[in-house]
Amino acid sequence: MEHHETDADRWVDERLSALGPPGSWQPDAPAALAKLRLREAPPRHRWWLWATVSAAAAASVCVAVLLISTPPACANPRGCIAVPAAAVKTAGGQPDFKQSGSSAAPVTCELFSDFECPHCAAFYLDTLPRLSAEYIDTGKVRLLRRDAPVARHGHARMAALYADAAGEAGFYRPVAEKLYRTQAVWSANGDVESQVAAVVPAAAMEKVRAQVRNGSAADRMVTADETAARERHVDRTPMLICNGHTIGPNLSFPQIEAQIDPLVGQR
Amino acid sequence: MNAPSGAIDPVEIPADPFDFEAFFHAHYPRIARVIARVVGDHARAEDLAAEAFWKLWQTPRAQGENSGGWLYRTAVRMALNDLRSGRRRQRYESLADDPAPLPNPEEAHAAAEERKQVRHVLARLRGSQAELLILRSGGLTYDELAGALQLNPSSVGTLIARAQQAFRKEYLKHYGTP
Repeated sequence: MEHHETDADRWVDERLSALGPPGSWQPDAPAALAKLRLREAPPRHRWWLWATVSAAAAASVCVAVLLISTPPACANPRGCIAVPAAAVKTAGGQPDFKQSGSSAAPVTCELFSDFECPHCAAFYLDTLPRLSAEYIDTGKVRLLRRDAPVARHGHARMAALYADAAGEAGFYRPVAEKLYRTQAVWSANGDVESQVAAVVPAAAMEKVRAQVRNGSAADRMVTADETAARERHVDRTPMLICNGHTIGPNLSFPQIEAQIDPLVGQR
Repeated sequence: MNAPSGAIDPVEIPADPFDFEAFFHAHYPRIARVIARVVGDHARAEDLAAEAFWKLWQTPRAQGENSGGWLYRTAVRMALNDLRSGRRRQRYESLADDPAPLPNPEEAHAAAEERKQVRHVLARLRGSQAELLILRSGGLTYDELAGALQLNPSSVGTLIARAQQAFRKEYLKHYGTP
């Protein structure tokens, strides 16, 4: 019996050896690591190009933007968007990690949301996955995520800063999802950082903390989104605006679908 | 602008306990080779290996003492899923995954046929048994296998024997006595 099992072992080993000796090929580790680094870091050069252009534009428009603005509110509704101290106009640019879908999509939608707004959490967790599956992943819609922190939500802007800083480090999506899922916790205790740290590796978290404490990139992104919200007269969150048409705040998927389909069909 | 003052408590930034880059260099070649033996396509193996490392990087709880085990387990599962998907099966046969030049077309064809059969059988085995056989034939020790597949080290030998029996039975069922 024992001899038979040994033969069986050898027979199986011989079959598996047909796949080739384990050490017969040398993979290109440096190239693979370089690709991972590219994947980890968003293309900063685009961000800096955008920042330079938008900063120049901001000087000429920020005063007008502040003058025409009206206080928006969460669809909850509980407040309005904080007036940015130094507004930076967005020139249509968003960092890659806040975009989804093809740039060739016939419809571009902007989603204005507040991490501390319960309706935004419901939209992000329940409606957005379906919107992604049926419109974004299929090339019909390109989605730009924009922060519109409501002033009365005391931790909403901090949450947006953490999310954007995490995005700079390559972790926007997991952080955004975590913040929406744990909204009740951090909005009560104010500890946004712990929630972010739960989904960001330690080394990257160090960069995120530094960015939130001292960096200006995340703040510029949030400020630019706040300015965009004012320009588009966003007075509720979550607000979806597609090809310049206000689809509406806090809509169900069928309602969104009914309004987006004609826009898709126009192209 | 800085973050609102007082909103963030100053904290000690601990030294990073997980050196991803060192870990990558230590494990990537072996991981990619294990995957390549399953999928039979070096480029695809590199893609899947990189994906496994990306998952590790995005999973903080997997980073630490048992990262190696987590990574091998993830990698072999991804390789088996890829194999089972069958999407690239056509490519397997056209790409050169031969470990060494073969002397004539008949032997080359026989070797390719053998690889195809082995992969077909692996794809039909129970996941845990296929993972065990692949990692073992990839050169992992019993301790490494126990760590990677979260097994009791004392039962690894028994489980390997069962996996081999299952492989042999499945192989003979499809291809008869070799």
